[in-house]
Amino acid sequence: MQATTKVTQRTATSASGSAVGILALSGDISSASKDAILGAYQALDGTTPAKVLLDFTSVDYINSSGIAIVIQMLLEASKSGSRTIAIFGLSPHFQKVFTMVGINKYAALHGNEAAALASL
Amino acid sequence: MGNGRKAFSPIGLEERARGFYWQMFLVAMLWACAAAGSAQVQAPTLAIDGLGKGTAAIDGPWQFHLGDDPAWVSANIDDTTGHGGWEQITANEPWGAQGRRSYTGYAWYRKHLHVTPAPGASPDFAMLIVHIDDIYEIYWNGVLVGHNGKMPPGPSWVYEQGAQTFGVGHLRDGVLAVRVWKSPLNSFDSGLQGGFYAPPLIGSPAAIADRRTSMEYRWLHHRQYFFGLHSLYALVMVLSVLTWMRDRSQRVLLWMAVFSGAPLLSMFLVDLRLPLSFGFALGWLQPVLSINDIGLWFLLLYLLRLDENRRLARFTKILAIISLVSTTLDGLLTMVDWSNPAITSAAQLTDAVLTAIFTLVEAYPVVLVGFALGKRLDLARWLVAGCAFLSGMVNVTRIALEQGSRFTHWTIGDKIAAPLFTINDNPFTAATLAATALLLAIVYAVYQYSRETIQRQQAIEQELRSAQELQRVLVPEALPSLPGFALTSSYRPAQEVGGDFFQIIPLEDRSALIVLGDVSGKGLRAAMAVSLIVGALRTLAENTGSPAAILAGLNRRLHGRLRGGFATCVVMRLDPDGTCVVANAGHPAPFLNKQEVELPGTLPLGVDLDVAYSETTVQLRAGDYLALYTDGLCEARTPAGELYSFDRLNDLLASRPDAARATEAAVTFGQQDDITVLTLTRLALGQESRTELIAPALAPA
Repeated sequence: MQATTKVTQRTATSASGSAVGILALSGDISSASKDAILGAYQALDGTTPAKVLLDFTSVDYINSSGIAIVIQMLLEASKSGSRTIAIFGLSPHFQKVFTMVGINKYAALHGNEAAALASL
Repeated sequence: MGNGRKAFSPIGLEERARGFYWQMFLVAMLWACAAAGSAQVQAPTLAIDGLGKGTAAIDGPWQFHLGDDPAWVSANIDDTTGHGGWEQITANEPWGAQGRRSYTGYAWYRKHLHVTPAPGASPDFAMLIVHIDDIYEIYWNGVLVGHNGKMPPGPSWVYEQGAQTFGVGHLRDGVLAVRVWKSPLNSFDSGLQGGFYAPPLIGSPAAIADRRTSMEYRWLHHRQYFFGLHSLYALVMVLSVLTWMRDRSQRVLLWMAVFSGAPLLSMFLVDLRLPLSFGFALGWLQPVLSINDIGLWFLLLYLLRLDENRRLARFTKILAIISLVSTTLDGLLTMVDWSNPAITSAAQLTDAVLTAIFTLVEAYPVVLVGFALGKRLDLARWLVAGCAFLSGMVNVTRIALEQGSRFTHWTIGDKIAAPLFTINDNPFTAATLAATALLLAIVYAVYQYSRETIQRQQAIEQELRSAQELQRVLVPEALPSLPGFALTSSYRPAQEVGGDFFQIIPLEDRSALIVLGDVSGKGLRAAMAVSLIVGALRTLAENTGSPAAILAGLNRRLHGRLRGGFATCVVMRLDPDGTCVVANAGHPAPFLNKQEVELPGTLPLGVDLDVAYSETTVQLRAGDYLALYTDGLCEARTPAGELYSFDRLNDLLASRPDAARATEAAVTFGQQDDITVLTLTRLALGQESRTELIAPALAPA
């Protein structure tokens, strides 16, 4: 029943005029998504500047192992201090879950892409 | 059409071997020249004298004419050889083998007869036709006395049948005329077909019936091995299906059933002489042969351990679709009326293209065996590989050489299809031997494969039993009574061992710690993490009653030990006066009466050392209802993917269910993860404390 995770990369410009890398995730996010997500994130190194948006608009479900992957990514970015990450497109359910596990302390949660770009 | 298996044996010689039924009869060929020095030869008359209880072959030269003319039915036309296109051929073999290669359409055979019954013999006679390709009508002196199949337009005839018999009445002097129609050639036709395969027989109705019975007996006798082999296929198919139904994870058994079931279908379509039309039988045969092939490919994938190669597995699936589509289209094409000249050429061309695809993919087992060459396989698997290679090579060579043989005139395909030897009249061809060896090798290898799988499963089950025994210690089977509270709990793992945990630890000051949590992931790994957490928790609780300090201690011990995972956890200290101190690490907040307790979001345990956990104090009053749960409750999902969600959860908990009812609601909706629910109700002064625990019997004590 689990849909495969797909990650596509695109770029946009934030309200402040800086380039933003966007990783658009889709399908289900679970332990099986680790390579796809971290691989796409690491592929950003050297190609885009310090601002990254994670797009969850097309994500159907995130289990606890999937949340662990997101946390791992955010912690690494936070500790290296080189990158600002923000998140948008979460369903209300997962917005609550992300807040519950404290993700919002490491990445701001926005309703949509425009709001996310405006904040960067 | 990819079926190269159809081959009618010209058995004229055998039929002509006289048995004891034969009575004395005299064959006199009366030749007369129409005119001295002329090329024209009058049609000979076959005289059969003294025909009694036996049978006689209507052999020798027949007058023959390609094409169709209703006048040729008459006894009185001039069918002199060399006149008006009439020529002579025999009925011993098809016209294709007598210089009219690849001719299709109408043709007429005529035979002048003079029959004299033996004294006292039956005045009426019957006739037996061994086989005429494809459709025919028999006339005696211009009167239709028998036919087989339906002539165009919309021709139809039986794919394979036994000899046909007809009553022909008072047959004495006259002309036997046989009108034949042969269908356009398929891709596997050699062009050597058409018309009679053996001379017809005449005799008394009883003698003809005896003759037919004896031929049918011989047909069965010749196929003892064939039917024996197919009985084995049936047995293997039934056993595979039954074993697969007991353990549906063993897909190899399902492919075994497909591989052994397809030959049975094929046998029903073309080998049992059922009255099925040529179009129907051959139309369905194409996809059935393809299913047989596909079954073999997937068996080879599993047995030769090629299924680990994802690209190869994917390619096999694509090839299976191509094969099935091409054979289905080819099958549908067979059901079209090829006798319509407007479509004959297009149908033949399409047939050739589709059959070429089918023929190419026939070689795929050889490719799969090639991929297995570098692998370390046991003897059973090497036997499968060897037999699959052999069988693949025999089939692809035979079929490839048969295709288009009417143009190439190659007869190697026919030679490969010919018997290598016979045992008790049963022919053994290279294909038969290869198929038998392949079936036996596959049965042996599947048996070995299933045995290995069962042994592996037993080892895993033993591990699981050990883990379950471990978990019995981790999930309490009895709860202590908490003074001033009514408590219910329910635990429902999604798998045999789960990642949820909860503990109630009474402290010395009559307060108690209630700890509920969830390790990311499921199964054995999660259960092992739970054992680590519970051990650490018990140790920490001996030194502190502070929920935040306990979480901090757990976090330190778990950091770096959960392999990228985490554990959410809520710790609550409950005092007898109703004071409740809560600390949380990424876990859903407790639900108090109609709403959640407001707690700050905090990282789960095990992901970051530098996390500070805060405590929140709530004062519970008599009648207050508090529920703790794991995310398996709010993240139950329907098969369509709809989440139970926090909204439904809020409505559910607002109705103050006990733990069992809350759990059941989520399980009914669609359990995906472990579900643990704990409810506490603050009792009024003087009410008796009570506890209720519902947990599955995790393992025998």
